[in-house]
Amino acid sequence: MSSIQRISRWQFVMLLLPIVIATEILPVTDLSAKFAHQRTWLAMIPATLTGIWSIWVMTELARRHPGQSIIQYAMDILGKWGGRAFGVIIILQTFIYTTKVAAEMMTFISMFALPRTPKPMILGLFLFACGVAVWAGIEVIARCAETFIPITITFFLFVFICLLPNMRPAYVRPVLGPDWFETVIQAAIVPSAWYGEFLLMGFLLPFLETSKNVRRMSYYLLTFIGVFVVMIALQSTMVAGPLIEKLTYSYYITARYISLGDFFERIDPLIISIWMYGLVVKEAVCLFVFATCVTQLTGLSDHRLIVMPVTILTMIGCLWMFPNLAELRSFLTYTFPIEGMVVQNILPTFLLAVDMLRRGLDRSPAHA
Amino acid sequence: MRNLRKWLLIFTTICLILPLSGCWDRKEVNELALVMAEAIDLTPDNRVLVSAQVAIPSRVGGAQTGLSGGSGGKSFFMISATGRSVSEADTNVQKKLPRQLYLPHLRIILIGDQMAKTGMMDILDHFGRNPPNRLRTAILVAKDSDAQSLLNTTYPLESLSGEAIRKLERQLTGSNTTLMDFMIQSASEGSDQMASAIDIRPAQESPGTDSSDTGGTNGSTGDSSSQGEESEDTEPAFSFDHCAVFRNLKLVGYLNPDDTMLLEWMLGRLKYTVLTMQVPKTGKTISVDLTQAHRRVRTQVRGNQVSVQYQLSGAAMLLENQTGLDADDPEVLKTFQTAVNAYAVRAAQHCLNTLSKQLDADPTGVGLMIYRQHPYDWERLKDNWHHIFQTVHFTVHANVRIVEGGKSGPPIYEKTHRGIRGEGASGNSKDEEMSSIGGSR
Repeated sequence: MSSIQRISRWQFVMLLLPIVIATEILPVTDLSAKFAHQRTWLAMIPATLTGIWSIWVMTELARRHPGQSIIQYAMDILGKWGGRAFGVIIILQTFIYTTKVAAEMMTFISMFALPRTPKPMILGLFLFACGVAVWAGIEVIARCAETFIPITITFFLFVFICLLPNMRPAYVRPVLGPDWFETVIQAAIVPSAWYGEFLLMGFLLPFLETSKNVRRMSYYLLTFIGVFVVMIALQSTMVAGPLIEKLTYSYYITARYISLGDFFERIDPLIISIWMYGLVVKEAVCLFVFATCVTQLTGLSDHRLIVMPVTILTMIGCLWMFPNLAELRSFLTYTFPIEGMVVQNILPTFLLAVDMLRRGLDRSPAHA
Repeated sequence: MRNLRKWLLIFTTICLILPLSGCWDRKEVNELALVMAEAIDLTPDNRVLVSAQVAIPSRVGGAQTGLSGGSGGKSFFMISATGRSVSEADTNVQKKLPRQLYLPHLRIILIGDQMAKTGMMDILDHFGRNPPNRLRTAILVAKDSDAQSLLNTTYPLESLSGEAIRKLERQLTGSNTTLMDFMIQSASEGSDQMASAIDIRPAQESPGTDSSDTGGTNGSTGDSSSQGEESEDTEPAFSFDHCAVFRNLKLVGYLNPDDTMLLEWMLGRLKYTVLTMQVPKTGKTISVDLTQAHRRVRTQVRGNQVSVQYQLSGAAMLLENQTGLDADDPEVLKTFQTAVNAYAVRAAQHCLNTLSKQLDADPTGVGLMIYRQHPYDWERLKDNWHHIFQTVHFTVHANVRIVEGGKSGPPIYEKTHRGIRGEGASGNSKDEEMSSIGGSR
């Protein structure tokens, strides 16, 4: 039974960290640079607002309904049918997560690492690994995260240091200029959807050993992620200058640019494998949440029954929804932020509002 | 129990089979042809000619251990083919090769003169799009010749001539113009492009000819590159003097050695160089070793009138002093310093004049500076920037400090003047050097 499994607070943080970082740094920085150009790093700051919002709503809901996941308390709050409808929307959202992450992985790997391998094969292998982790449960994913994510973060910092000689701060200028505010806000919309993915907290919080200080911890985490993402954006901008918006994976391209003393070069295979750590953890978390969603909505006893169908569905969905890179990038730039805003931020807030209203109504007759 | 074991067996088998899927992209080293350099030319019938310099691994290793590449034959071979685009030419090269062309090790691209004049867009797109290509690759232009023949030259010191070209550029300016730099210049607002140009000269120059073919602008014979790579015979050698200036990705001309050096300086790319200039009133020359070259640019926009101030700075050490003056004397050093700065200002003005009046190209990125410093004015100026560029008023200030007088203070060949100059002249030259180095840190 999955409900017996527990994760510690450190593991919880490590599970949430790749949710933004793993996918944000590679495709998202470039997409938001299409709007903000050299001000991309500035755009990353207002983007965290959705993260603050999402964390507040999710922790507040969890405080009111301890030990329950978002699907479970949605049924309590909105009633049986309202809750089910809400659950279906969340399922679709997690389905988007799993397919999106898998597609990001697939396009990147097939472009740079394994160009001749058939895409379904890459995808199948990746999802197989994630599926095994999901089968084993949240504890195993958490332990994976605990091991992998610190390595990933350290390596990204290492890349940053190695690129220092190639950075030209002048590329960030002009910071302000004609239409700077509009462009920054436009550009902030793209990454904002990734911070909204803290929606997944709604499923992870019930597994947490203690719910003490969760909100403060999550805000610390958000601050770290925010700083980290700004750093990555600055790195790409200062190395690639105006090319950042034209390169498909500017982070990878700039990291490939590393050359220390003519012999420390070509660390790109390392980048791919280490980036995969973060992706595996993120995909596993998303798949796990997807499976839990279905389990809880249908009243099944164990999420393991669902793991295999859900994984295969993700694979099919990924191949079907994102036939090419342009499709994926256009989805990430124009569709996902808006759709994510509605599902990740507005719907949970609506849920919280209804909950507050109902409790208020329940309580006032009791006092009277 | 047995059932579990069976399942375990099946599961393990599946797990062991999975890694085999990596074999689609296997690359055995002995199936690869490592491309170290590529020369790209335009044939007279407007086709792209790509010549790949493929390393022969056994000979590359052998050349390092003992004899130079000349003895055991070349350590590379050239293979070339034409096509409508770089990729098609690459594919056609591949048709002649039993091994797979392996591009990630490509370190230098040499562009033929004709190709550069026609335009670089197609080349840049190929190298910016095709995933195996790295943007670290250095890009150079073959001055007044086709790139293929230039790359085909063997070089005594380096087993691969491509490497020789790349190191030549880096050795003299401290960095390479990489594809990334070139593309950034091209994609930036208000900036044209430049790349170093390589040409072939005889390795040994006869006493009759002047090494600097520019006729020494400003009366200087400054030629930072004629340090003569050693060579046993009169084989041709590469020489890096000039730089190619592009406008809208089309080659418009070359800058002479002095201008090249100043352009690098004004771009903030120069790390070190040797300058030689005349000292006023004496008619003799001094040479200084310039390090820590920096520059600052300030722009001012008033209406359509743009003025740009360059502030060049650096630290220099006296290398040679033909004037016979005592370099220990602070006053003399000050004269030298003024001479260096006057030279830098004159050369910079000359370079800027050549660029704005003759070539009408802006590789110094004056437009970019305006965009960075006055983004609102740039909106107004950018549409007819190339008109405004010709009227830009340039001011150059140089602030090079001569911090060290070299190993000797007064001319070392002179007899000491006891009693006249006192302790200064009899000072131990070693101590002098030490103290002056200590003073500069």
